[in-house]
Amino acid sequence: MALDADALLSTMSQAAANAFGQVWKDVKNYTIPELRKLAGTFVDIELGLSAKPPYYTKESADILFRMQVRATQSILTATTALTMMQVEKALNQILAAVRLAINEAVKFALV
Amino acid sequence: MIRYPRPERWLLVLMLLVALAGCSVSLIQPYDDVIEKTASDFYEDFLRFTISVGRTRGTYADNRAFYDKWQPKLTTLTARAVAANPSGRCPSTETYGGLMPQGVTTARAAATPSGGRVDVAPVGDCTAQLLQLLEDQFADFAKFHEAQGTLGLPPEARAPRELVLTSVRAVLYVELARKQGK
Repeated sequence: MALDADALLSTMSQAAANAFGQVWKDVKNYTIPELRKLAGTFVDIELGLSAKPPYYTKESADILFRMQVRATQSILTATTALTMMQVEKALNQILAAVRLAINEAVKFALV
Repeated sequence: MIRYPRPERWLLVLMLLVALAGCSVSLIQPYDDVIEKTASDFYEDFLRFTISVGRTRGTYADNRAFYDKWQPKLTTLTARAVAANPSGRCPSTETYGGLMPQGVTTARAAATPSGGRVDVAPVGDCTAQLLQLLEDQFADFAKFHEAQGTLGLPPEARAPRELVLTSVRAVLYVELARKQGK
């Protein structure tokens, strides 16, 4: 049986679309709440420096700013990792979706 | 005129090549229960530490044992993740697809007091990078505590605790997603 590229593409596209639906859920459930918490730390640093007496020193506030960059990096790296998991899942779903058709066409277990 | 195959045919060829290399694809390292357990233990221990030290306004000098306990543990965890996938990479984590156009290294340098140490770009896959970030975050928390002098860790100071916990949750979220096979 000859392979139909358009039918395969349709099968693969559907498998990819199903897998990537999870990416937005992860961004909504993890990334956005974490970024919201991070925003709260900016307010806290400003309060800590302007309180009378201040509860942060100038030197410790400088360190906190550096930690904020790193916390942002943690959130974005985790989001990247979650996205890569979905890419991995999509690739495997796409392969699974076309496995039968390809193996039947070549008449041996290629995939 | 040269005719090129349609893009979807290239995609199909790519898929076949990937398939020939193995029947399934793995882009990040598998779930590691040691990472999950150590990160969970650290989360709880760190939270307890900040509450109790906040209550007593304990100084860095009074609490060095806590840092001496956890810094080697976190360093070991990073080494474990790097060793599990030495050639691993986490794509786009320098500029995050243009979100931080000047690059993370430059942003960190800008946020670092003159004369202070700037992190080198993290190495390894996403898991290794997350653990390196946590390790650096905890090292900076120790410096923060020391820089506070007699102020210690006041109970109203939420930012330092939250910033470390953010980095721990990033590790845990990825590990648990891996465990659940999301």
